[in-house]
Amino acid sequence: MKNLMLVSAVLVALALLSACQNDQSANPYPTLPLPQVRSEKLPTATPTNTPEPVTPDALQPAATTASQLQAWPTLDDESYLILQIDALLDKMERELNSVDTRLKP
Amino acid sequence: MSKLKILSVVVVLFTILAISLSVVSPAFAGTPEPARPVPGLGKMTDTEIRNTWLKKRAWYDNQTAVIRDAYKTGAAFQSLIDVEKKKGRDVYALEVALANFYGAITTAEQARINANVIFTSNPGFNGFYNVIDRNLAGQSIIDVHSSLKSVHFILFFAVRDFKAVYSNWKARYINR
Repeated sequence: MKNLMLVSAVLVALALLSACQNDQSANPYPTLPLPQVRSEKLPTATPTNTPEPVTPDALQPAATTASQLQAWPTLDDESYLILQIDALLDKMERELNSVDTRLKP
Repeated sequence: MSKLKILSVVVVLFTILAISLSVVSPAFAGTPEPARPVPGLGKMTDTEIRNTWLKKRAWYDNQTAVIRDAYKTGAAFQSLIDVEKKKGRDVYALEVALANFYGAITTAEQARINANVIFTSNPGFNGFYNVIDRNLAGQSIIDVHSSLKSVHFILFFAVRDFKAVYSNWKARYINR
């Protein structure tokens, strides 16, 4: 008797669940209203506010003196190379000094 | 009464299991690897031989990096010589130092050939650097060490001499 009541209770619960599911399936995912998009034209340039074409002046050859031409190689090249060589020599020295030269380290 | 019997059987079984595990566990604990003699290297375990071989390999890679930097230094130094020549400075000492430096790098590379051959064939080791022949592996370590050490000193003295000439030149022209 008890078992019968239990089975009937389970069946009732299942029936309720299926009923709820049916209600939801009527409108499962309500859609949002369509977005309101403004349809306007982009502003276009009018003849009154268009910039006037400007013709550049003719390029004048720069006046370079002989001393300026002979200024190469510059000090920057020398400094750069010296910095590079110093860094490489230091790195090599560090790598060579960090080695354990024993047969069984 | 039956529950008491079941409980007593469980306790007895648990006790037997605990005793058997306590007896077996030291067998699973790794026993120390025996250090056996290797000709020229004294007593070493296989793990020590492998680690020594890997350290020699790292040393070889370190020398590769030094030689690569040496070539970069030579190229930068040649550019510096060109710049200084255009300035009208005396670069004779720099040119001699650079020629000696390149010569030393070439010598070092020739001395590395032996180490390169040994590391390529890995005598005494398998592909995963595990020891398969202790005596052969020991001889490989000795041979490769000799090669690497000679390369090391060639590079060491080359860099030292090169830096000495370069520092003198810098003291004369740059750091006045």
